[in-house]
Amino acid sequence: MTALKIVDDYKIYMGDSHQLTFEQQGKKTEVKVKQCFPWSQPNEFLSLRDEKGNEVFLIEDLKELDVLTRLTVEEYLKTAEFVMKIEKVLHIEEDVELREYTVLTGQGKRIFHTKLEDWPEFLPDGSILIEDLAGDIFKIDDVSLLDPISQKNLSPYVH
Amino acid sequence: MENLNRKQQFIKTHLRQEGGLPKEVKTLLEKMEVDPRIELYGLSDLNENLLFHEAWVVLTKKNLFIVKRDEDSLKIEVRVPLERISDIIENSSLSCSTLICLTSNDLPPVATWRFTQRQKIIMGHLKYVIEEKIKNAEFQMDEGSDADEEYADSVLKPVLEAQNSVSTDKKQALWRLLAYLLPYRKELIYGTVGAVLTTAVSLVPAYVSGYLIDKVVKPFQDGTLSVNEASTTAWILVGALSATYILREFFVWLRLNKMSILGEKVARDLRDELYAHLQTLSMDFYSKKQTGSIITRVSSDTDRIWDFVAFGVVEVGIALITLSGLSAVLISMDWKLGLIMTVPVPVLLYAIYRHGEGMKRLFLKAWRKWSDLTDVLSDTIPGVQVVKAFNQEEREKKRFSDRNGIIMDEFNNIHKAWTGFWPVLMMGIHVIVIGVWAFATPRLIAGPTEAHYLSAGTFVSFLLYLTMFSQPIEVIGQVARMLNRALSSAYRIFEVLDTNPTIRDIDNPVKIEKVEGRIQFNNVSFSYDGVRKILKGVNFDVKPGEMIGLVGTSGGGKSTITKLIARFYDIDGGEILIDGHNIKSLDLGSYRRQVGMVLQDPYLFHGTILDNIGYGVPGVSRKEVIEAAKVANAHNFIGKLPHGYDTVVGERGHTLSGGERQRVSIARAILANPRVLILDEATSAVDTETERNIQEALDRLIEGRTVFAVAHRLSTLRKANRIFVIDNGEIVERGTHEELLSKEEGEYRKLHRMQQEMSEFFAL
Repeated sequence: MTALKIVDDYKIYMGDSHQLTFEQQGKKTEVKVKQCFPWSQPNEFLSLRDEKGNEVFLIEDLKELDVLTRLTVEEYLKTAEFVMKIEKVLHIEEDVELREYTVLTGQGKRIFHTKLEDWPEFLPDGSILIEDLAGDIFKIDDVSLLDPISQKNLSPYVH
Repeated sequence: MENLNRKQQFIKTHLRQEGGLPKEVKTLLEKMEVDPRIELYGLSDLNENLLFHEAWVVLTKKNLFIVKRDEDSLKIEVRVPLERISDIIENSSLSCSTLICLTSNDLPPVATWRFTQRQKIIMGHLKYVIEEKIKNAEFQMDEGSDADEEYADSVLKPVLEAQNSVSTDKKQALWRLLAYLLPYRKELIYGTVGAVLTTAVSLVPAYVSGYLIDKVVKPFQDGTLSVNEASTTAWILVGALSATYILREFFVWLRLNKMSILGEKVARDLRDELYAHLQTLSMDFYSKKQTGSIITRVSSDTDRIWDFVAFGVVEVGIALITLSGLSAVLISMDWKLGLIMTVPVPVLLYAIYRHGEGMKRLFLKAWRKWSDLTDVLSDTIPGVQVVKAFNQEEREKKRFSDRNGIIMDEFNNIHKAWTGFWPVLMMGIHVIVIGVWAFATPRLIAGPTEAHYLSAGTFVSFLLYLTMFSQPIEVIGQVARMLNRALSSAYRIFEVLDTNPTIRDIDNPVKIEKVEGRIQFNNVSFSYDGVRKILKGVNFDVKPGEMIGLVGTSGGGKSTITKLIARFYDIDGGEILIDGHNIKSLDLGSYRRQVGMVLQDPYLFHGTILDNIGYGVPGVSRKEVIEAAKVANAHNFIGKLPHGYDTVVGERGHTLSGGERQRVSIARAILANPRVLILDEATSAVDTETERNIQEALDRLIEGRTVFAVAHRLSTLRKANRIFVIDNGEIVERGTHEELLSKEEGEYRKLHRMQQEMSEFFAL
């Protein structure tokens, strides 16, 4: 058991089998956390769902949790909200029906594809999301902070 | 094997990652395993710190391994006997999923691995097989399954669905495309000759003009040629010029006419071949490709090919011939002036290329903004009722207007770029002209005896040739775009043509003139994706004329059984016998003619009701159509339509209600007189009154045939001789309605009770 904290009448902790567990009135449920607003308000309205996807509890704001529980949930979210952050755009090439991006991410170099008609998406905070054909998501927090070559490569797709 | 190598190469080329399990891993496992057959494997490409790494998760008959690359070598990091695994849990998130293997719920996991979405399909298969092995230790993958194929297919699936599987060698595709011209050598030769002669003849007027000045005008002005001689020669030359122009236009006609017709013939051949091939392809092809994408291949892709054949092939040739011909003529006439004019050509070509690249980027931007605008249209036009209901017209107008304004800005940028470029390019050509003038003027005013003397006629020829330079340069600048468009269409067409139908007749198939209708499933197993079994060892023996009801939960495998009876797919294990013959040995065409289907959402073709009812029996009489419609309870409503049986129904029969379409489809099935009939939820989408009408029609239809009826409403199966309850790919109960109801804890009884309670509830 890595974290345990009683918050009002419920507990959220990481169980022995490394599953996030929600406990209320002695009833333990292994849960997954679903962010209701993963891009616009990632730390608010976190829905705890059981294995069938039914909500068992709604955390309105991470701040309302005590420190240990918050850390536990935050640790869980690290994987849950993981997307690959693009640090450099090395090359973009248009091939038959596909657009091929060669990028450097925080995880390492990656080549991915989108359809020609699929464009990067802008989030309200100005950051950019690109979803590849397999469903992996790549994020650029701020295009203006990229190096000049990356900016030039990206220019037709984001400006 | 060749196919696998191609896929693995594709993964390496397009995804720049290993195409399959490295040989070292196989060697490592062979050393450790008693049974080293690898059943399935996947790549865990994220480590615990969510950084890329390479760890192979490998499933053998008895063990699960994780083999991780450390520096340059691969090491076995985890080995878990499958019998110890009690549960496998998946945590999925945006771009990272985790699989956790447990041996007990109160012990730490024995294996945990993370992966991106790219590996999700194969990891899903791995999870499924482990779960099956947990449930049943004897569970095994099919003998025919191949771990390398499974891995390559799953990783490539999203790319191949979006693109195509043949776009690997552009040169090969181009040659293959050009091979379609060969049957029309005559047109091709005429077209090419027309093109070459057009170019050759186009060079003549400039030469004749120079000749006229040098050999007629100048000598006449100098007094060395008499009026009569000058006049005669001048008229001959004017006549020659006229003949040249007439010839030129004739050759232009010859080229355009022959090549356009040739292009149409090639496009027709491709369309015919493509459509004929599409008809042979099995259902698995259609389930992988979107309808729109297939239609585009037959329509606009073949049209693009026409464009390329009619204009592209020859235009490029002409441009190259014109440029080299011009250069040769100019240099041979006066090599110094010739060089002044030809040396800058590569610079101009490069400038056009650079401009083309810049324009490509601008067009990309404009395309993206255009797609933003069409998004608004495709949102609001179909959803106009919602916009009006919520009084959001002003907001939508503003949204459209904002995006419309952005588009105008983008296109203005494009216009700025090209309107700025072409005057500059022309300025470059003018600079060459000025250079030619500057170089030529001292020579023009020099005496005819001086070595560097240049005649006025030669100079005029040069100036006229110069005007011919810009067009071929422009065409060459567009070659890449034209070629890419044609090749992308060719790839899409060849992909279909290269797909082999998975369901094919064997050599010398058995042709059953009249199917009796005995259908046996012996230990039949089947999966759509090669891993997840939809049917697991299904057995039954249905006598001719028997009606079988198939009930059970959604996704249990009911419809799959009916698709296998119609042989839309081939099974993975066991055998299906039709009148004692293996279904794979039957002549597909003659067998399918004797299998009829009435589906939940019947499909009516664009055409009259008469055409639709008679679809399966070409040449059927009107009397027979009416009789079939009467049996199907359709005659009455058809008679009420203003155009009766001549009523044209829409693309999907939308002018008729669901119940009416269903009765037309039943009439169609009655007329086709199938020996085996499949009813798949035939009455589920209609109201009670209509259901009764349809049910009556169906009751008449099923007489004397072997029938499989899939139904959720058990009341529709009252005539069934036997009912099979299907759950999770197995027949869990079978028997008559009464026998199944008598089973205290039976699934059928549960279903029946629930439906009864529902109808009692609504009756209240």
